[in-house]
Amino acid sequence: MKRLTLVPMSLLQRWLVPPRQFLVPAVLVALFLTLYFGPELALEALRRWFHAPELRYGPWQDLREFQAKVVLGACALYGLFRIFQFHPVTRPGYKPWLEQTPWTVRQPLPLGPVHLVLRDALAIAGLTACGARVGVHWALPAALVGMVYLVVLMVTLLVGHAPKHAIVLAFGPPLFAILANQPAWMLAAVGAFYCIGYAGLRQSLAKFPWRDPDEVHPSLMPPKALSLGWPLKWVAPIPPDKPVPASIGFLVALLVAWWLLGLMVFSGVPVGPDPHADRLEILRLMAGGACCGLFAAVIRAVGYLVGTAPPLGTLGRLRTGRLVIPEYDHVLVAPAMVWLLATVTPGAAFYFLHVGSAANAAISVFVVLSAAINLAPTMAAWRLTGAGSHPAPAVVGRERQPKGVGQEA
Amino acid sequence: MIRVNNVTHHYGVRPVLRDVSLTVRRGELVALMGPNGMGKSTLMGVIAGTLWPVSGSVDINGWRRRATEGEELAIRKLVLYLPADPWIPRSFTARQWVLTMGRVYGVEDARLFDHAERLLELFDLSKQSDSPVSSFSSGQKKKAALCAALVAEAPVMLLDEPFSGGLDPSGILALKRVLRHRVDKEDATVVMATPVPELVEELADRVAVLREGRLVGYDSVEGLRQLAGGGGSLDEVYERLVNPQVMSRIEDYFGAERRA
Repeated sequence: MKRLTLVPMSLLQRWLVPPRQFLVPAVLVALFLTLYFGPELALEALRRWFHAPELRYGPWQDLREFQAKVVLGACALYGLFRIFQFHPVTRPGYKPWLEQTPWTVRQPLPLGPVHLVLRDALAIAGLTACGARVGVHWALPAALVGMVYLVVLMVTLLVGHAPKHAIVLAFGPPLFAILANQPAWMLAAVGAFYCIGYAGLRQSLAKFPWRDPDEVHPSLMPPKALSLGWPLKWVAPIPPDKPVPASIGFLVALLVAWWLLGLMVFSGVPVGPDPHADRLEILRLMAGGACCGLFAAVIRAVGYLVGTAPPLGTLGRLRTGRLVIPEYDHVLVAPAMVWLLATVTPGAAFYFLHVGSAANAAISVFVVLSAAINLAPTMAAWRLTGAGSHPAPAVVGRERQPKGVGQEA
Repeated sequence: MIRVNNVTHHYGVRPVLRDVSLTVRRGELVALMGPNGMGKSTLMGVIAGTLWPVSGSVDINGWRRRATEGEELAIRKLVLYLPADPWIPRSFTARQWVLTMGRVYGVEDARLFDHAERLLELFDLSKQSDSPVSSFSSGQKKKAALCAALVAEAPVMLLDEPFSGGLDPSGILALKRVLRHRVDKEDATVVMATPVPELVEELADRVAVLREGRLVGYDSVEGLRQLAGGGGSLDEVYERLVNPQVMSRIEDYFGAERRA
């Protein structure tokens, strides 16, 4: 009998009555209500007290704008709250505690769900109603909650061993920015990205507590290469940094270009061709590209050359007459190519593709970054000494032995 | 059964545990004792799986800690670890936290509600059970954490300094009785770290004494007396094992006072 009464109570509590920890802190709710209704009530009181009907116009317009900002701010805060309060990554102490328990993804999270649930609809509906009163588009509050939520979720997925979903989510914010003037479409995009985020969240929680399968005990980890300093770090038996796969290089370039496009469109830079553009525009673009490309080329070159003394300096080359040292100097081919591409691509995109400034910049950034990241040689291949370029002695020994020698049956 | 196999651990270059091995039988209450900084909490952390020993291993009911995902999950279903400074979400009430812990450990709802109420009553938290933990004193927080630990009804309990943290005499008495009941009647295995010999003498079946990361004694209180070569209370036995010079220092101190 006792059980019959307790279980329905539990279900009732779980589904109908929001648990205490699930609610936004009362202080924040009170702050929102004060900011939203306080000035309005004060203005209404003044209008009635002084019998001043003109107060209905100018100040009321300003007040509506202020209230709209309050609503949108509350939406952003709610999106932050929903994930910061309930995700094991973002709440201090939660993850270490959860690691000690027999919790698995098949159970609900002990402090409440990270994913959005029906109870969130109540809060979002309230904010939408408040927004609608002051002229905020009906789709904007929900879209803003979702956008902020997705951005934080993206970071938690990176930490929580669901990087593929995180990368897909990273394409979301620029799209939301591009659709900023069409809130209904923006909300639809947020909804689509939320589905991806939800799948990533499930995958991430299923992998909890997020340990690498080949995790090595901290005390057994090799010391960081940098800790040895030059030149020991090149000759020490330390595995070199893994080269960045070409696919990751293209993906990073695409992501940066996409974010740039989103920001430029959001700022009002045209995507389509500019009918007033002339040949001078091409020169301007090429000059801008050359400047940016020089920067990218220097970054690429510095990444390879800093901390490494050249085998022969300029003076040495002049004195010996060996101005070009192929095995060494081929590291400079990639920066030169990056610079060349940066100079040529904006003009080529303008001339052949007839795109506007925003798209032009995005295409150029994609091409230049792809080249800067992916062009050979890799750091490991270029190093003249150390584990990066020379196999370890034991491996050399094995390679020199005929097949079958030294192998146990 | 808990089996600690040749565990060595160090923080940086400072060794904290050196080749510690011990076995805790099912239905046994074992107390870990040792001076501050001698590895009690580290050993508890290693048994609880929060720390990964540099060498050695821990087996619980035949499953090895941190070996495979399946084994680790099986161990977690059995083991409850209460650190010295347990984490409780500040926005939770004591009752919410106790119920949350019970649910995570899969305790049936009806049983959980009943047991939670009895525990809150036992630890004198009934009146405050619906207040957020942020408004609690440190002693009340400790009580809430103990209630949550006990409601899980885990067959293996690892308690790091359960009697410290501002627990009042009635809380200490209640905890002693509950722990003894869990061991005697429910065949639970309890390992607790505590620096208080009086509590250990009354409560523990066996006592493990750590000195500078080594296990210098692991036996019943009577066995430790014999090991230390003399009678006396457990704190004297403990001091003879851990810090043999302390008795002569005490004699020197009072001797000097008499001479003056």
